[in-house]
Amino acid sequence: MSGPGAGHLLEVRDLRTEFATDDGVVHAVNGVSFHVDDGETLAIVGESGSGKSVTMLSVMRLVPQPPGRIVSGEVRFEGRDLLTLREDEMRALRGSRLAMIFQEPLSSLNPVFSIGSQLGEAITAHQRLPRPAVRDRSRELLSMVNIPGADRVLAAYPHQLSGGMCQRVMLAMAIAGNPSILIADEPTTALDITTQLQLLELVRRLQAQLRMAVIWITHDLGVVAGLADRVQVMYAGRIVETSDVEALYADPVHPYTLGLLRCIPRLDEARPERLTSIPGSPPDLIRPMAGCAFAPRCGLRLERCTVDEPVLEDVGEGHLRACWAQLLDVRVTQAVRGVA
Amino acid sequence: MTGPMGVPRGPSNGRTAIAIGETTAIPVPILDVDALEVHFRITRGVVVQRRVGAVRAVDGVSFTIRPGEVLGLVGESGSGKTTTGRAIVGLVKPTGGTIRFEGHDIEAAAPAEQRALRRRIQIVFQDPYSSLNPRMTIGNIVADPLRVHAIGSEKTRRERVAESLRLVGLDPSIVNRYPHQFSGGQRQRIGVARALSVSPALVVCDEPVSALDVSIQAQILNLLADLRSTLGLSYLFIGHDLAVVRHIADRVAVMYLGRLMELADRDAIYRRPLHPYTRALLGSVHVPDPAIERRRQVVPLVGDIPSPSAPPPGCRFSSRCPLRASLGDPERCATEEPTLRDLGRGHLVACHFADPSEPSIPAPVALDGAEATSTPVQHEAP
Repeated sequence: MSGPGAGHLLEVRDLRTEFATDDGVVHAVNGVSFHVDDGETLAIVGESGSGKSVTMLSVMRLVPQPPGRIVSGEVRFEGRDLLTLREDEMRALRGSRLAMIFQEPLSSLNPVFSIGSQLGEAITAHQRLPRPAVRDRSRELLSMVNIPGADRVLAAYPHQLSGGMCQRVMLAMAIAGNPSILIADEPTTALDITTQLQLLELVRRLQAQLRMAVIWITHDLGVVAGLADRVQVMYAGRIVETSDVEALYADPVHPYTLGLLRCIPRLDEARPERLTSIPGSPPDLIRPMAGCAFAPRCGLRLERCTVDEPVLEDVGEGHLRACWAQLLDVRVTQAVRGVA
Repeated sequence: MTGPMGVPRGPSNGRTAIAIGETTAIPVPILDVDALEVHFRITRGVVVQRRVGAVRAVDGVSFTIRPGEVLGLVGESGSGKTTTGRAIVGLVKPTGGTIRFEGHDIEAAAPAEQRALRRRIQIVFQDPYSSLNPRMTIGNIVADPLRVHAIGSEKTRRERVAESLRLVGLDPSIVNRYPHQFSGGQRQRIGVARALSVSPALVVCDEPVSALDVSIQAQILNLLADLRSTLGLSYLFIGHDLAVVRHIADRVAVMYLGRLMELADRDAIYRRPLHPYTRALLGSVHVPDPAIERRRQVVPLVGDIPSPSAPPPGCRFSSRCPLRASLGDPERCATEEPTLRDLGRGHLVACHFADPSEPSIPAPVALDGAEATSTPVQHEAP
């Protein structure tokens, strides 16, 4: 486990991002700190509104301003604070050292330009190359993402390709600049499960081949189980638990993580008569409440939980959680389920 | 004709009793879909529209649903599962085949009878955001089917709306509020209340939890399970999440490119899937366990689902089929379309070469009522 100051590839400290809306200010990200090391895979898991996507859009400085605003924080990447860079410096990093792919591949591609011209643009954005070299590089990138018949695909338009194919084209564009970090924002959510598996295998292979770190944003605890080295769980704009992948699934120490793991039907377990559900719904981020944001839905709530906001603390071997409940109580709840 | 409330369940319940104690007898189905076809024409030209082809969204699908039963219908996008559901509730017109509800052919029925039949088949949609009219109050949304079917007076409708809302766990005092004031999970409850307002016997649930957050999915699945047992409902549960469908369904049908590939009891299909497509689907499901996921060796299916306007000749799955590839690409798969055949105990499979004696399990599926096996992943050697 690397400690603070060990020179992480990416280090985010106390990031806060807000959005101004007609109803008030939405506190989307509320003081998030984490790091990513060379070549590792970090999964950020959370439901809609948890702030997982806004956190990474803030890192990429892609939050639309206004209405969005990065209020405070520090994003250290390769020795610089990204939040203080000029826009042209940031643009030089995006797509070269830092790349991102999104959930909807079709809406991320421009419908009126051919795949060849969009992929070519991604290549020439960061290096000057003569035309034939751009063509060669395009073919090479397409073969890296398992797209056969490169010339046919380069001449095609996005609507002529399937969703899985478009997502692989997006991936080709993302790796065109040899990024050291690939941020994947739910890239498999819109895909069918058989296509999903193809993309997961592909990202895994490219990660090893190009020695990239991958930050995988998802709501699906199943998808990241085999993919991530570390997982951090977000709720209401905060990190509530983070640990290496084995410990998180075997020994979740935050009641929300426990709830998430319990409420999904699983093929690898006997079918229960009823699913354990988390009562209520996620909180309103316009009126932040005192104490822990999960408290109203939490079965292990203490009096303190509605007053003091818990901070992330280490419960052993880099396994962090933000919760006031007794560790033993969380583990007993987990164990009871194993018996039932 | 039946009264507006407390509707009798219809004659099928009486007939079902025949099957009790006689395990081999098949109860009279509440829904009998036979050779259902929904083709959408592809036309070219604005003034003179020439027909240039057809999207064969549903292309000869047959299944039944027994009273009180939940049939899961799974498939990838483009498989025709949603169109099948929409044809059953009358949102799209079938181009062929018959749909019988409690023995009555819906399409052939006289208009008044047709409306009476349709009232008893309702639908819950996937997206609770776009399926509720933002300008209508919750009370009017839930009362809409009552109004369409001209059931009850204004006062009895209000009572019925309150009862429906209570059934789905909502406070009837919300009737004057609007959809935007509710969360996704609450909206989906409102969608369910709307379906229940006219006392249906069959509810088509079209991916009712796919658009919801995972912490909310379980609430809605539990609600649907409760309503099924308290009201004696039957569901056609359409989904793409195989773990969700396993949780709620009694029998499961697998669709691919407009055709059924496999149909069997839940335990049979999950423990011993016989169609290579079902096996591939199950092999692609992720489970939240790093140890199992790391050992995953299933070779993903190659390529994408072909276009339903130009399905491959012969077996529609032949272009991606790993079994066909392992058999050395037999000619028969590309020339002869397999029919659904019974490979024992109602386990129907549309494959020329499916082998019921094959032992392997493609996915880490735990056996119900048994301890999860210590070595859950048992893949075939490549």
